[in-house]
Amino acid sequence: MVRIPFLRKRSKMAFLIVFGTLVALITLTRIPLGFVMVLCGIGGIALLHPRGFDAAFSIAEREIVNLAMNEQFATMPLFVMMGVFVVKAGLADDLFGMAQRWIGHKRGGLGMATILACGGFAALSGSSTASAATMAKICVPPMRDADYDEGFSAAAVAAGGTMGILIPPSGALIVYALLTEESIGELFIAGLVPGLLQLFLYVIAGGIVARLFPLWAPAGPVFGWRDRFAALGKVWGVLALFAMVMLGLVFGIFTATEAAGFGAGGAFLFSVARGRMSFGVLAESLREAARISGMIFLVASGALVLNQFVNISGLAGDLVGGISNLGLSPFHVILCLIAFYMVLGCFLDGFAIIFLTVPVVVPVVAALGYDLVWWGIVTVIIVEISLITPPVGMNVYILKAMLPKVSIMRIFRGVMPFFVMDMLRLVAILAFPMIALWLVEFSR
Amino acid sequence: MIKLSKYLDIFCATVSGLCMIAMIGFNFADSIGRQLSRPLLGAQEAVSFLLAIFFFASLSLVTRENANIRVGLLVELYPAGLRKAERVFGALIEALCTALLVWMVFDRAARLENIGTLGTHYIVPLYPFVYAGALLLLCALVFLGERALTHHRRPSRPESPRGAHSVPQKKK
Amino acid sequence: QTDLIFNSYLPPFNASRKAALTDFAAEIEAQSGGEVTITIPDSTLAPSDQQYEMLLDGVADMAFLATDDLSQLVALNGIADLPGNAPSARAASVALWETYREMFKSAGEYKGVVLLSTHVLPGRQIMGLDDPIDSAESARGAKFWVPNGPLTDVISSLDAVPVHTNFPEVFETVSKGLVDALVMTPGSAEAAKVLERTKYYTTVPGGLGSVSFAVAISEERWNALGAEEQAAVLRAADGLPGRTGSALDAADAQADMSGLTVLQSPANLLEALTPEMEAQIAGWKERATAKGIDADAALAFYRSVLARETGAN
Ligand code: NA
Ligand code: NA
Repeated sequence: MVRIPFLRKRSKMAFLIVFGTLVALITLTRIPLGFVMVLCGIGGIALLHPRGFDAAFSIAEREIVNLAMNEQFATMPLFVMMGVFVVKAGLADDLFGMAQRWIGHKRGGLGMATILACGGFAALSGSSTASAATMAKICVPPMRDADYDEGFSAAAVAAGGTMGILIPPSGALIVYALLTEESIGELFIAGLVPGLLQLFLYVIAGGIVARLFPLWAPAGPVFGWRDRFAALGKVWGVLALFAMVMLGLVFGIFTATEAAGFGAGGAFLFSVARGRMSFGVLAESLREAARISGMIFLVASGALVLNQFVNISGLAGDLVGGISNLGLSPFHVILCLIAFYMVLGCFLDGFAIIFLTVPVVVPVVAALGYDLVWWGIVTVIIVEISLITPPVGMNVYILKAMLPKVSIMRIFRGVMPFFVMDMLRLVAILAFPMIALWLVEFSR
Repeated sequence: MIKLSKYLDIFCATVSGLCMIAMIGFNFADSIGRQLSRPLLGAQEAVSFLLAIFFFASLSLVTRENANIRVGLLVELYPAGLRKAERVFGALIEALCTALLVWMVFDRAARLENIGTLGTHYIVPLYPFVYAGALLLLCALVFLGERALTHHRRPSRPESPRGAHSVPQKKK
Repeated sequence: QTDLIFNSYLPPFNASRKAALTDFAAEIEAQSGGEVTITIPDSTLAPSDQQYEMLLDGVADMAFLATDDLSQLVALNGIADLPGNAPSARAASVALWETYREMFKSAGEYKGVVLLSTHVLPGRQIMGLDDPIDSAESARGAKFWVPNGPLTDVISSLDAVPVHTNFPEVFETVSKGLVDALVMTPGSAEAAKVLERTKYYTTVPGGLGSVSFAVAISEERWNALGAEEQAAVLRAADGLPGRTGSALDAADAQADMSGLTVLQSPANLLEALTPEMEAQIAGWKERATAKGIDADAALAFYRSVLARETGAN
């Protein structure tokens, strides 16, 4: 539809003002990200809408309260809860214990065991930072005892942790689904194969490192067969829980929310069966899940308010028009977007990237005719990479915070092999979108 | 204030925890019930009511534990004076935003009450749930007040590890 | 010069979107000689069930209001949603609009907004997946996908099992074999990509029920328009119910029916459906009477327009 020229001009001005303020506030102050987005969104809508602040508040309130009452969004806190219960039940330790007993005695084996355990944990937790923080406590000490290079062992956990947002469940995919109105279930299904590919490539990276730099990754202690099978027996529950959630999604037995409820309930029963649950532990777990969920809720609210500003500004439509005028082929546009994301990923990470860019970028991708489920997976892969690339790499910082004696440069150096594998994976998914989509199509 | 805040903290945690348990219960029952051709009609709507209460109670807990996601890429490079100014400015804006948010949720509840929106399964008005959420969120303001009062007494929290911008700060 | 924000929650290639939104907006601009311009946001400013309050809040100036989202506030326009009352989208849209202007408008429903047009989806029919639904026996115990609302009761009255999922999940519901039949039109079945999985098409005259929409403008904004601007909008809206209805019928007629066996109005099934269908009509009459309307007269008037329009088709 034809817009009046003055509104158009105002849109561009408003966009510059709003995003200028946004960037200034998030770089120069430590005001909570969610509040910054809500404020900028309201300000921007008020600038553009003929009814000013009246309309801005009405829109913002509606977005925030609708999100709070959005049954689909219940998926997020429920999966957070599942992850918390899984840790409390000691399942993360069991995962590593199992992997360590089976392959830890090989050269580089403990590194590979770390990757495998991270992958298993990722199947139960929707967060990368939580994965890295949890697995660091479990995996790093045995590697230190086996004289692993400290930078490399920290890097294995930092990189392995990123799988948390690709292998379902994934907080990042839930948020992407919410912002794009894609199906959470389909995005989860789409993340499975690329996630397993990541797991596979990372294990290979561990093997290659052990071969090229034997001093980085020596062999760990050997365990007997009895020990190995005993450890295997402990993790069946993890595998069963994950399998039930995933099969339920693929075969349409569960909605995503039900899968989450089922997972949380199952993880709880598991920790009870393990004798790890007490009233105190339950209260602590509930509080932790509430804290993480509330924190994500605020940022998601902000993103939705900002989303409405972008909508009213008509900017996404203009951007689509502008890009098509450039005469680039759709695939070149995709490559440009990825280059933009990679640069952004150096400085921002995790949810911030998704929240800030999806409203503007996704309409462009949709207009080019690409599958938005596929693009969701690509976005998450880029976010994963951002978590381990300098100068700002969240997972690396988490490891650094937990291992104060290891220099950050050494961790970033240790990340290199995994980064190479990430780039391979990114190229693969760009060249063969079916990696993400075939299981989705199977489930349809 | 500090005692009040302690009670409110327990209150919010209890409400949010009970909502979480109920949400798990509803989804568990519905997903199994449907396999047995006995779906729990209205489970979705019940979950949406619980979710509203859960999120606003949890948001207050986030405030109490000072656990919001923050970025502040350049803040660490500030000289001490500027850093302090940023802290005061940030705290002020945060308090204003929290108050604004509380007002917005109340306002939304009032609008829903005016228009009389009812749920589609349980034909009940939606606004009481939103008012309840707003009241729970009101606790966040008390928690901010507590933080302001105790800040100068508490030994300053060790700075976050360099660069760990968005690591939620856990209150010890 | 006035700019109006016309919100839509419909996807880009929806038939009623083109007729009642983009074409209508262009016509307003043309009729007003550019004095009234329309801004259509890229995506919706509020979910579909909150369009009315969005207008009242002044967030948008114009929008579509579906009767099934307003069932707590609006009873009269539900006449077009009743069984048998939507033989074609065009006839029903015109009939609803004329009945609204003639008999409903004065009752003062739709407070705070002014209606510019109405349109009605083609009446829903029964699509049998593997087996024909052509008698009370064939329906008994079968699982029917139905939209939320009164059709649930219609299907239950056949001792059949109503199953509801959101429209985007219809495909999944069908491919997993969770239902035996669908209560929808061939056009919707095609949109849900399940038409090739259906074998039988049982027609119910006028449909088992439908959903009607109003194109509304906020009263405050309407009153703020100058007399000439109002006249331009009304000229653009002239004949809109018929145009939107025709577009909806055309979209439905594009469905490829070659693989379907058509079962024209099987008497035994219709007989079984009649009691509940009549109960629904009686229920509407009760609600309409409570609003101070002569319900029988309104129904007779509505049906007379239907007869005129279907005869003219
Ligand atoms: Na995960
Ligand atoms: Na980075």
